[in-house]
Amino acid sequence: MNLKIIWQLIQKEALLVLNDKSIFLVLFAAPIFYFFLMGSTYVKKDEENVSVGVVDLDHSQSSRAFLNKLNATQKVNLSHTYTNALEAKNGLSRFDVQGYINIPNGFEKKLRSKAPSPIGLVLNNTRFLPSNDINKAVNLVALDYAQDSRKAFFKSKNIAPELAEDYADPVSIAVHAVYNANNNYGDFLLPFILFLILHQMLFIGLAESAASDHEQKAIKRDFQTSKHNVLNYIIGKTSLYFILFMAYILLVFLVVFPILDLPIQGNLFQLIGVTTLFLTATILYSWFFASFFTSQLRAMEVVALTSYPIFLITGITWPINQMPLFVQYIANLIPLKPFFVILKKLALMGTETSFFYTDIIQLFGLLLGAYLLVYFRCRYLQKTIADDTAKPVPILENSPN
Amino acid sequence: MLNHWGTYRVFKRELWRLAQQKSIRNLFIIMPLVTFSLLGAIYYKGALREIPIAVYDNDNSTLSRIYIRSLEASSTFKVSHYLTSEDVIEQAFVKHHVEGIFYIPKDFHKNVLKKTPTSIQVYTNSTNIVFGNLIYRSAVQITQLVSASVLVKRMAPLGINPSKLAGTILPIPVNTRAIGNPQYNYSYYLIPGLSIVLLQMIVFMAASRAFNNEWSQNSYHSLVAASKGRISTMIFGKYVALSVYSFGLCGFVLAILFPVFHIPIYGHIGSLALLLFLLISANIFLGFGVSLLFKKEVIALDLAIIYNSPAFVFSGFTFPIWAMPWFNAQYANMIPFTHFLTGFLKIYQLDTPIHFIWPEVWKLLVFVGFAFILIIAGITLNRTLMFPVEKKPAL
Repeated sequence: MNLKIIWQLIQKEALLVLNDKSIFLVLFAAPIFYFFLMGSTYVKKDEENVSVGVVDLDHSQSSRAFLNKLNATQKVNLSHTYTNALEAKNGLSRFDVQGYINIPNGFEKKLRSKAPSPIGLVLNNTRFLPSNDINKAVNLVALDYAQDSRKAFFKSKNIAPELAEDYADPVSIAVHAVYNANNNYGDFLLPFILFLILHQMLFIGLAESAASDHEQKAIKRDFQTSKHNVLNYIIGKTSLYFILFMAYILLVFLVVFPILDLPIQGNLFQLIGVTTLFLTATILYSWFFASFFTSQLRAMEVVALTSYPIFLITGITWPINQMPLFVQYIANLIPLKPFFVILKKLALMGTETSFFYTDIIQLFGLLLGAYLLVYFRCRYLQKTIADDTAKPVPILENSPN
Repeated sequence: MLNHWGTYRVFKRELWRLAQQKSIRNLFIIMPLVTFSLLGAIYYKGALREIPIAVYDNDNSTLSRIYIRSLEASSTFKVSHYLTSEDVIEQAFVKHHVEGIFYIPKDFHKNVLKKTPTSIQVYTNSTNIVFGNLIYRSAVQITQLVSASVLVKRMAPLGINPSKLAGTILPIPVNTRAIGNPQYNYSYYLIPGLSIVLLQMIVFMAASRAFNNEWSQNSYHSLVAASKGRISTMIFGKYVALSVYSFGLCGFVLAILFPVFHIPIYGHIGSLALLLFLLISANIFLGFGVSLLFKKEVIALDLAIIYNSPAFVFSGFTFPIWAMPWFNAQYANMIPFTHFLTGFLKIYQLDTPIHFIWPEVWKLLVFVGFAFILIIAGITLNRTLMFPVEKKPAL
């Protein structure tokens, strides 16, 4: 390893990045733009005031009281009133409302006569989040009525009011959402989306750079500059990306996480250490895959379409053990997967290191695997390019786009 | 005979030109095959069942065992661990890989008999809210059932008219009916949306290189020759050719991907085709606009990627637009997919008649109109490239 050579290669890469508008855009503008865009999208973290329609065929004091109670909840906004179910269904079909409540005629009468007085709740289940929130809110209000009715019964049997309250709810349930107290969408997704942005921008940027090397025939010159030493070449080629993305990682942990009120329960230095490991493995993997692209445009097209599958395959939104075995194997070959597990356990759950040793070992294994892939790929490229040694290589200061 | 028609000549030329491009092969064949199949495989189970949970029975009584049996009988849960006093509840999530922990307190049964209120404590690993919501829903249902059975035994001796028992315990039962994916199937929920958002990206990316690629490859003169220099002929010829590829991809999604992963198509296929036609047209024309505005393909592609990549997040599919800040909501509205998706869900999931999607149809048409403004701006900006002056030999 020769530091002078590495420095030369870093300078050359810096010139490439500065002169290539596309790579510059991907490495410097896109991450900041996406941080802002994604971070602000989930800044409220959860939805409120979901539009719900009402079909009140009873028009009674009791039905109004029920609806007022429901409207007072944070999640529901009774925004539309319909005269019949068909009209309400049309409102739902127009997406004016995400669900509607149907209070039948005789609701109050049944309620007073202590007969079950059912109401209908029709949900637009094409989107799960609003549908779940409406369902939960309506059932909680109905449950409040149940408590009051039971209490009234016990009181009517000459049981003291405080005892009646105890009798009314013999077995209650308290659900504690651990590690995400409000069970909100923002805390669930944001930490991972921020790192997905970095992952994809690194992948695209490096893919573009490697493809540009192929296009500009710079790869041969760089191998010559590196004295055909793989370590010199790869460190020289990727150090800039490492430094830049380490800066982004620090920005995420030290600035973006606090701004978005995202927790870091575990040790920050440990987290940065693991992230460094992840970054190194990702850089090596990215370069390896990028080295197969001979056109910047094709590299961008292909890598841009991988964002959604890569995110979903990590098991953050859908449990990995529910996926077919071959998908699980693929997932385990991507450094993002063990890194997300560690991020979850260390940053969000604050667990001890012993609970993610295996994931750290997996990251080390992937790093080693990535290095071997890069090593053999470099050797192969050197060999294939060596056939071309007779041709002189022009010395370029930089590689314009 | 068709060869006399300029649009057809451009169409034929473009069809052949695209077929020879490696980019098009990657975008329309390799990437969809890989990514769409992967997406289908990820969600192939559809619904979440048997979520692993742990139970800490600190009472070990008849009633606590009844409660645990109810949990075991539920299709939502799989009791995979029974914790003991030596276990630390906070560690159980990671130690035993469970998503929920049910804690039955000491004297649970005794308290019920003594008519002292008692509470089951449920801890959910809400780093994934999908589990959190499912556990909440089922846990509340089961506990309500157990609580109601205790209440019946508590009320009966006090004297209650049997016809009033149910109404006293639960005066307002909620009869819930979910329309549009009542199975809560994630495969039906996510795969259509994800595959079409990728389709939109592919179409936009391909279109964003339609003209600037001709300039960079020095093939523009042959396009001029095929169209006899008519810009409208060039645009529509290229549009029809890209539409053929795009509808081929739609066909792959609807006729192969959906049946393979058992995703049903509800709704009128004609309405669905109209929406897809408008989405594809809007994206092709917008892509043309970008292609004409930016003569460097790589910059046009950068913009196409940056603009389209967050389309799924902003579509309001998983997180509603009304919960986003104003700026983000406006950004969401500036992406055709957002409006397509609303119309698509109406047709595909709710099976609504076509008149319900007119608002979305109009919005998509506005995108087509805006795309033409971009196209005109691009033609004006790069008029020297669009209208090359033939060099005449010097006298």
